[in-house]
Amino acid sequence: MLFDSIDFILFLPIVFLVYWFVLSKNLAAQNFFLIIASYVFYAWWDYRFLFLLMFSTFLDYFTGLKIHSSSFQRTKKAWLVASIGINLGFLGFFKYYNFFIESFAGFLEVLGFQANVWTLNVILPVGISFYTFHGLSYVLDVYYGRVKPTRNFVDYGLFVSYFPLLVAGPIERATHLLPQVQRPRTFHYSQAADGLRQILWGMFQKIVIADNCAEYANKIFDNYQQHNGITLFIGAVLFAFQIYGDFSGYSSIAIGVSRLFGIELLQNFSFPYFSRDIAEFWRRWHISLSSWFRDYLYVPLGGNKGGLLKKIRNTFIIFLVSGFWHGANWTFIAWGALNAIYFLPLLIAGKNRRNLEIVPHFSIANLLKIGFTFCLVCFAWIFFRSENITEAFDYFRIMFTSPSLHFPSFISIYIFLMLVVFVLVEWAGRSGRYALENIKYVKNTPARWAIYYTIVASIVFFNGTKQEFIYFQF
Amino acid sequence: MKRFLKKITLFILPLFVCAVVLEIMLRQIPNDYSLKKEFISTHPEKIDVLVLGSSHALRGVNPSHFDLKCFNASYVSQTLDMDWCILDKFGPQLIKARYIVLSVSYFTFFTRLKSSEESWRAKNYTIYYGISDGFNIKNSSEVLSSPTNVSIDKFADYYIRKKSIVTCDSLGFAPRKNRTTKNFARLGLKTAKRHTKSGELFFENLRYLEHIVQFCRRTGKQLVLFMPPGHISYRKHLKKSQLKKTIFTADSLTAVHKHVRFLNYLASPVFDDGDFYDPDHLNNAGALKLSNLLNKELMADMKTHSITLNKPVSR
Repeated sequence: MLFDSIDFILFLPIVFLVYWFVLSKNLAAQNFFLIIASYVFYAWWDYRFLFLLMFSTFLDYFTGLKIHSSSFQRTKKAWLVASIGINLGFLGFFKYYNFFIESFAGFLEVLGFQANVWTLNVILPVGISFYTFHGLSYVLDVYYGRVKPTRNFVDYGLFVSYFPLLVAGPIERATHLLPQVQRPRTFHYSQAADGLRQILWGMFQKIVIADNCAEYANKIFDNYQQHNGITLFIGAVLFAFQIYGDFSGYSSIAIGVSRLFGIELLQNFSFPYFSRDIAEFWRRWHISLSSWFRDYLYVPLGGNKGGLLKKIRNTFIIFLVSGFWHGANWTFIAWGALNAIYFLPLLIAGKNRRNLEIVPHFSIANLLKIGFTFCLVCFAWIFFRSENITEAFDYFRIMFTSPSLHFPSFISIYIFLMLVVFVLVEWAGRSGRYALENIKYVKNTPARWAIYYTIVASIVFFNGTKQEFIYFQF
Repeated sequence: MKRFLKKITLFILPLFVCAVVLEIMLRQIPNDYSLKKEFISTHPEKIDVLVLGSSHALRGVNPSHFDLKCFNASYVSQTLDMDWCILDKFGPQLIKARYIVLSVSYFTFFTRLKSSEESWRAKNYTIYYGISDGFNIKNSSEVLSSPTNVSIDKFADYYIRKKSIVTCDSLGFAPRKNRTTKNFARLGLKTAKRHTKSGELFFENLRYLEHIVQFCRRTGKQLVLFMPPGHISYRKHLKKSQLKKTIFTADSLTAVHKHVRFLNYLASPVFDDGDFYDPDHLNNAGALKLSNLLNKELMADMKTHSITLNKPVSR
């Protein structure tokens, strides 16, 4: 089920009303109902993969208990390794099988051997990367003693399958979500109203910004050979806004929906395009994934401890793995590598921990830094969006070798006006968790509602061609 | 909670009222589907030949060039399941109809409206033809099935700008101007690629065609399948296996059923560059040629089968 579909618009109020009106006095029933609703939500796409989700849930629930009850460190470790192996095995098969086979065949061909490879028509189960990482974080936290395993299967099942975050995150932690699942929840007007506001903003990001940018970005990337340098640069910028609107929009809707049920999810985006350097960008973009890799990969590898070479190695590993997590294509690995290269000068100079404050203040120097960082990010997105590495390099070649100030006539000027308004609203609301949060401080109700209706009207009148959420494919 | 529900109701109510008013008013706007349904259901006696199929039939078969009373009920992206639904619903009223003419294009056995890019058109069959689509709310509503700005544009066109959205003539044909200015080489490749599909829908579509074949047999109608002409820029990029499978299937049906005929005009030399609107659609000049060819076939068939026609085949 998609958040921007009619199905979901009908699904959500039904679940909301039953949850608060029928089951409000019984936590166990509420949790059980939410898990059933989550399975319906997931099965709407393809019920066959529901069994995979259930298996993965059971596996991590069981291994969590086993790790906790084992007396010997070696047994604990064996359970951990088994869980990680099976989880990554599924992920590897569904997501990377063909990639590895084809890459291996390509490698053999380079060596002069002809290989008849056996590829499979494997369908990628929606959300597998997300719920696998949920499960992994749980067993790792149990192993490191950060969390006590729950004996209640429904509670654990809800932690993994909770529908707002099931298919595209945010990637939750047991330490954050599980306690919320286990304690009674009460309805708070302010929390629910805030949730609706965030849903509205998420819809705007997705339907107005992402879908409109996607139309032009697709046109440019699909026929990049026919365009001049400036058009290709605009294409990269539009894709940058598309992916931000798409993913940040999805996260906003997910967090907002969850607030309606009295559950707070982790913040996933914090105005990443206002970052003043690439390190800050990575503290603001897909925060739940970045922090996952930091806690479960970077830190166990040694993190910032040790010599410079070790730090560089760890940085490269985390970025390459992060790229590979996004998909089975060399373009994602190149995207990760390029970000690591961007990161390197900051790391070497020891300046990767600057700009830790949330709100960048307005100054010419800051604007220049933000502009420069944004350009770097856009260049990296070219790898992310291209079909293959050759195309990505070709895109760069044309972008830098056919300079022309001829503005592409097929791009509507309205899209730029829309982006300017969007950026201004985001800038004005950058002190909040999402751009519209501060609207709640407008005490005049008609004025506040006028803002909401304006956003609704813009969603109605300026919607782009409907596109599937990009992160569904991951 | 009460405060929350009260506020949210107050907020949504004006939006809901606007949506309902829009829905009602949009349904009042005459369109190609409502007019076609109106004609078939109110004038079944005026139909000797019923044309079904996709845009290839819509743009290619002009009923006014037929000697028999012909009506074109085909439409853009109308797939075999929809053809069958129309025939199933309105066929029993078409007592006088002698021929069902159905376009069998390169993609016919491999596509289905509801799973195609044009799936938003599916609502027209539910709303205007009254063909049930189970419990599919989206396909039962104008507002829910199309982007709102498209619905509002449609509303403004009809009620404010006083523009009609009807593109078909009174016999269901959608004329197109004679022009051949498009880049056929590029478009031909693009269109052929778009029409080349995997075979997963083949058997399902074949089943729908068999329903149509059986219906014609039961009601004593002749089923004329025709493959519409395609420009060389389109034909040369078609996948051989898909084309072969389509032609073989149509040929097989004619071999098994006496009341089924298959006419293949895909590479007919009768059509030249000036007859195409784009690589896979005819313009008015091309439609005239194709309609004349079909008419000739039907008239010749009338002569040979005039005695047996319109008599149901006994089971």
